[in-house]
Amino acid sequence: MATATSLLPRGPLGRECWVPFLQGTRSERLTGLLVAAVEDGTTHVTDDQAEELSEVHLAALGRDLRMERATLEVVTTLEAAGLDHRVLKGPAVAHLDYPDPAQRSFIDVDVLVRSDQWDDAVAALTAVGGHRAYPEPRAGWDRRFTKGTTFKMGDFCEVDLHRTVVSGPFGLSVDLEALWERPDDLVLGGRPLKVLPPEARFLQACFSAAVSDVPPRLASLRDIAQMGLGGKVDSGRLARLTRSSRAEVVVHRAVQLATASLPVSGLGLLGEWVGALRPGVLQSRVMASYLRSSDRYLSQCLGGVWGIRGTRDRLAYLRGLALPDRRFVTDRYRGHMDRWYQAACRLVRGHLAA
Amino acid sequence: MVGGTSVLKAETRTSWVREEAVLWRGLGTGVVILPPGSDTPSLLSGSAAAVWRLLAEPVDLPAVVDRLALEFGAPEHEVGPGIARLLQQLVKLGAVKARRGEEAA
Repeated sequence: MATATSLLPRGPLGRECWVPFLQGTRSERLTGLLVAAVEDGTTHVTDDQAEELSEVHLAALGRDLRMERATLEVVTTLEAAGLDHRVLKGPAVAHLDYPDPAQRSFIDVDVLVRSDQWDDAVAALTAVGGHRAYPEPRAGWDRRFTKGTTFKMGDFCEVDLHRTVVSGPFGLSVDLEALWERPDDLVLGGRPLKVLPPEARFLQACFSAAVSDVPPRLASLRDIAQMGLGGKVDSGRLARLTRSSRAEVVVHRAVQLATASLPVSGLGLLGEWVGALRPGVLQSRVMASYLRSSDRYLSQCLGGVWGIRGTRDRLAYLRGLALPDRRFVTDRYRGHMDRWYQAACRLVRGHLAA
Repeated sequence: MVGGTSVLKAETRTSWVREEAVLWRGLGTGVVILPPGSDTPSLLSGSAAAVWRLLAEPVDLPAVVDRLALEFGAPEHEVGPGIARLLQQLVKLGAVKARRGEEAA
């Protein structure tokens, strides 16, 4: 696979450049890749710089291991409750898609559960001391519409419990049943775990790069290149998953961003398929709701109607948005009227700014 | 180095292997490990990291000593006692387990 050779300096940086470079590498969670580049001679650093890099990377690795420990604890809790689950992102990608898991750091725990087991999963994590930051807007909302919720477990660990793999309209349009098919296997600390199949991991990486972070994190773009060239993603299965999830515009944008930002000469057959995609107008408008500079949350909420199939579910979704339970509102607003007023103001401001 | 020889003889029928539940990563020539029951990762460097890498499969102490003596260019009688102590420390840490009386690599 092509490496980002042309983006890295050949020789050691001067101090004034090295310090911000190392800080940026750390904040982008790319220290593992920089260590690999130093070890294989792609770039060179001084002895002092090597020591500093080693210290920073050691801290990242320590955090990765603690997050893996926390992942296993969450899996234990869900298994004890008899709940189906998939480990997402970090550990799965690090161990299955990178040649050395030390090259791919992560900062939290992500686990997917089935919609019809959502309430049981929340109860299971709450029972072991998990504390969710926000209540659900209405009873029954989360198991039908939420992307997920974050639990604080102990002093330092956050667990993202997922019902789907991205927030907003695309999270509602994604083919959830297909995510659960053909799981991949991962052994972590001697424990067998189930993770998403390669095509679903690639799609989730596309969501991360194309819509979750604006601008995208470099690590997300690297994931796309790594998986795209890794040989595990089946183009046919990816095409079917992308189509059934109505996410062609996401994959198209994500791959464009990755190939424009990283010095890789395309993604082979996968890249050819992506290059031939012609996302529709409606998908492009939904994409735009994620890329707005203001009121992204509000426009995604409203765009969620596009992602939902079925009139009954759409009405339930709109009712939940318009009239959430009082306890959901009074934490942040003076009441329903205040909430609608502020939403209307944001919409108008956003419209004027566009 | 009689004491060292006694240690080697006593350990001949014991094989050593990593605990499966240990989470770990490579860091250059070193290794970062997080054994079960420990909240703090430990960094193994130098010969400790080399020992860790040898313990992917069960291996007895003489085999470990042979390999490390070769790798670090040191006599076996100098390497042996240190490795024996390291193995006991790794057992205490919960990172390694001893299997008594088994065939080893």
